[in-house]
Amino acid sequence: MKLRNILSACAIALIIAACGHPSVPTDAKQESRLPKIYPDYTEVTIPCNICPLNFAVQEGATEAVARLTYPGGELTYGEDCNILIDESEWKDMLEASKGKSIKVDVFAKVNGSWIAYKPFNINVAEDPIDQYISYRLIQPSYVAYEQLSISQRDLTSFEEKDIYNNMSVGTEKDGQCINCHSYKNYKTDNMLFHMRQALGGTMLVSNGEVKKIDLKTEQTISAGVYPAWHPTENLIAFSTNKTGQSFHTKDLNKIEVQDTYSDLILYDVDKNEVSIISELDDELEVFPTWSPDGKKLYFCSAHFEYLNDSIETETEMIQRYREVQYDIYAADFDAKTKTFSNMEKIYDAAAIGKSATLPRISPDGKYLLFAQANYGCFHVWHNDADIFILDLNTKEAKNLKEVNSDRSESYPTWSSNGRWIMVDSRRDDGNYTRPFIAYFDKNGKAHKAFEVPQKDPNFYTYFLRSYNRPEFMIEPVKVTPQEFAKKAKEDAIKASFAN
Amino acid sequence: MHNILKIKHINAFAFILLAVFFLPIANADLLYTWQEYGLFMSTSSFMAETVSNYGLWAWIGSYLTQFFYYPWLGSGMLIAMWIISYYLIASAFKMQDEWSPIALIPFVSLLISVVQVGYWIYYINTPGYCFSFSACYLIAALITWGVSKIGKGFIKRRLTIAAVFIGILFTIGYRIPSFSRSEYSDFSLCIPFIVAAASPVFLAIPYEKVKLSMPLRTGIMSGVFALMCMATAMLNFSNSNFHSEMKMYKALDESRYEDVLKEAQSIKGEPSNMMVVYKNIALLHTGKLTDIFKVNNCGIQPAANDSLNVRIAHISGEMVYYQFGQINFAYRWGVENGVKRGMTNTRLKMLFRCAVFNKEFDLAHKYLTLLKKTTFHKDWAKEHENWIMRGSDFFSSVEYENIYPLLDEDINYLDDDQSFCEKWILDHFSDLVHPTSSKLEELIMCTALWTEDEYSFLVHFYDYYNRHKNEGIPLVYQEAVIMLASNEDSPITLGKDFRFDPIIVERFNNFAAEYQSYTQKGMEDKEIGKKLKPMFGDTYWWYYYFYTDFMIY
Repeated sequence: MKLRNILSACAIALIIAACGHPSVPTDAKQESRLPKIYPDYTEVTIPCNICPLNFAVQEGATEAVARLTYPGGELTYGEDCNILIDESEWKDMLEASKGKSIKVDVFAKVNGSWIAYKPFNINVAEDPIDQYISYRLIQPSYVAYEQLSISQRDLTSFEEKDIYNNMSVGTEKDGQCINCHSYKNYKTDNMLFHMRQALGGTMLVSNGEVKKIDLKTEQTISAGVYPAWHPTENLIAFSTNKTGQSFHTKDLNKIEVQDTYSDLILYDVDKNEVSIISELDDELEVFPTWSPDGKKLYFCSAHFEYLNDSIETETEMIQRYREVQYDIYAADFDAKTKTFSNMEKIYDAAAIGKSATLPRISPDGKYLLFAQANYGCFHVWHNDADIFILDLNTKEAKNLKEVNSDRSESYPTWSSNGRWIMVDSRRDDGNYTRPFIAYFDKNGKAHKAFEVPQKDPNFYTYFLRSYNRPEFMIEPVKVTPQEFAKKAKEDAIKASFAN
Repeated sequence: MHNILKIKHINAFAFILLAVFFLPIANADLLYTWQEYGLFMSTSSFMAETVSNYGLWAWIGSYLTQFFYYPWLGSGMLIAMWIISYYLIASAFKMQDEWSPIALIPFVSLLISVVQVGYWIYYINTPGYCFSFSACYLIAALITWGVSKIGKGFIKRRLTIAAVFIGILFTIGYRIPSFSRSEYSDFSLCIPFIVAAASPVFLAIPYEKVKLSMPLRTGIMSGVFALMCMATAMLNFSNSNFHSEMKMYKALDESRYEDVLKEAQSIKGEPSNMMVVYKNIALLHTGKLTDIFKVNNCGIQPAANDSLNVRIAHISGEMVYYQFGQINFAYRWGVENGVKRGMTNTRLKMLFRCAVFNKEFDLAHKYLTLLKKTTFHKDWAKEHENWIMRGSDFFSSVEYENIYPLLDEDINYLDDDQSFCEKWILDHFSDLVHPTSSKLEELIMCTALWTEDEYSFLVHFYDYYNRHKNEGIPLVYQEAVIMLASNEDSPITLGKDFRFDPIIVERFNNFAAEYQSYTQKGMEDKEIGKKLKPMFGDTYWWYYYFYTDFMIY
């Protein structure tokens, strides 16, 4: 009995020790600078429903403690040099801090002595963020691919699940490239992604039903590539692209992905029918996106004339790759007749020696986000690529400095309430793309971007895959990976071409 | 004494000798390569990713594979696992002493599975390959042994034990690995795994009921063991070029260029193209590239053990490009091969080096952080951390000194090697017009000769000759120009344009005369080449006229 009591006491003591909060050192020497922490969460504005912002203290310390002071009290955390915040405590903290701030004091034991760093704030916005995001996880490879997944992450927790994993139906010669996941109005009952190579086709979920479609017709240059769901109609705009890749021998951009030809098509989901939106000669149209009311289609187009008949177009494109610069256009759309008219250039990037790609309109229709670099269309590989915002009323564009870094930023997107921006950034190391989120307040001001939190704050350092094309969703994908895999094995339904 | 001399123990001892011979003695370089082309990191994310993609055994196997860093240590662990499994199985199946060699069949199969792979080592993406199956086998044997000891009646029957064993084996995750990539596959390499999994069926046979005299039984079992030894010897991929390539790669990785050259000089047969490339890298970095034809430069295709379409780019594209100063392409192949065939210790090191040369220090730091999580490569990582922390350490490194002169060519362009890295390097350098260092100039001129593009060579030689005519012109350059001058439509005239050592001119005349005389006798070039090789095999002329099977891969 005595032994049992002792053991019980020990067990309780262990549990308390494991769950307890470390004490703040009393003899710390004050430093006037901010601590070096990763991810950098200093002075960021976060949604009121996001998971804990765990971080690592990178001061070469042996121990670290953080004290989080919020309107309801204060709590301390620290495990070695990692600040791992309890999820339920964090939830309470956020609830109490809505519209206010959490003050963070960081203490680190460096060379045996404790140092207290300048405290910083984590501002908690009253605006929540969409609960889910999805992205493609891919090694930043060149031609080869293996082990790709399109995954969904619950931003209110650390839970991540596969939407589809290309290993589920085959590898090597039976392997697939999967890409371009896209949703209608942030919901998942109408969504799609493409599969290339083995068992190729577009996996389309229409009103919850999974179909596999072959969007290539004799009249179009490829199957559908970059998609955009119409917000109200059962229509999807796609680009069609003849795409190639080549590699820089010296330039640190390393890869160029180029379209030798590209057009725009409209796919009618109900009729399973493809029609042409734009196939202008000497124009490379790409990246369609709809206005929230569905009355306008925005897209990018580069004017490019092939001049040398004696070489192949691919070769000429490779030789003149720096001349390809995309502008942003808009065209009116009549949903009744399904026709486009009044195409106009709304942003002339080429005129200032730049190339604008990946446009996205804010849910209130006031702003357009895009990625801009010196040339080309594949800005995820362009170190000079930054996110810009275009005021659609004034037509003024400005660099969204709050979300940019001196490395590549691309794939901007809006949350469904328009208060959060998500971008892909290579700021950590220049090669591996990570999702970053920034608050966009009611006054049209962006705030400092922060990296999507992970349970292990060092996760991104060890992770050798990129987060490609992050998208917001207000609900998880309900079709299981197994259902997608089953459908993948079926023959694709051929789309017809409407004259 | 009687106990020690039990046949079961003698078998175990004989198997240990067999395994020791075929692992650390005959295949030390292979075992080292297994761990270089493997990776184990002590992080939860590595565990989660390995387990979710390849299973728990792959993670356990990856952990154990790293001990091949010291081939004897890793071999000892692997052999120990097999011996323990052997005793467990022999006990579970109550093998009579004299029939106990039968219980060695699965372990000989697993031994063969390690040493038979040949070039597949660079292609299979099965983390922990060498250990994962054996570890799984050991646990299945342990559980089966437990069942055989606890069970009663029906459970104790051999057939039931065999069924239990096979059931447990597959339930806990034993799988037959796949040897396929693109359109290539080799089922024969799966056979040892199938034999190992099916061997409990042989063990279930009631050998004790076979009425044979003791000498006959001993004879049969000795025969069985001899057969197992023969099978191991026959299936062991012993191709000397394959082994030399691994030795040369390791030496290159450690900047031991003289050792690369020693290995190149030691080979008896024809070298593979990859060995020729490695050899020329070593010559380049030791300032002896003009000796390019003194050590056999006539590469052959690799002796792949099946139809596997081996490419230099797939095996060591990152190393080859790096050594030639093509950092972006080296980085590309490090990533590309990592995607297709798994991220490995050696690739992380290459990616780190590329990142440092490209001044992408955050990226370099990332790769070092990963290497620091390994058991045997963390010291390398700590050692190379100074490349980032203190630039002077990088600038004074052997690698910087060797590779920097090759970088200094600022022209950037878009290109693709179509997975033929040797061809790309030869074309790239022989086409370069403005060398920015003497090392680069030497490389340009020698690659022109390597590709038998004597006119590209000549473009640079005029300038070179004018700058160096008083210092002595390398023999190989003289040989090339002398040969060119002998052509009827040659734009150059010896004596007028260039003055060379008359002994070399005379040697060439002898070569030409001998060649002509054999031709007049009606001999074919291949035969003439063999005849002239002892006298002229180290000359550019011999290479130019008789190395006609230049096949890139």
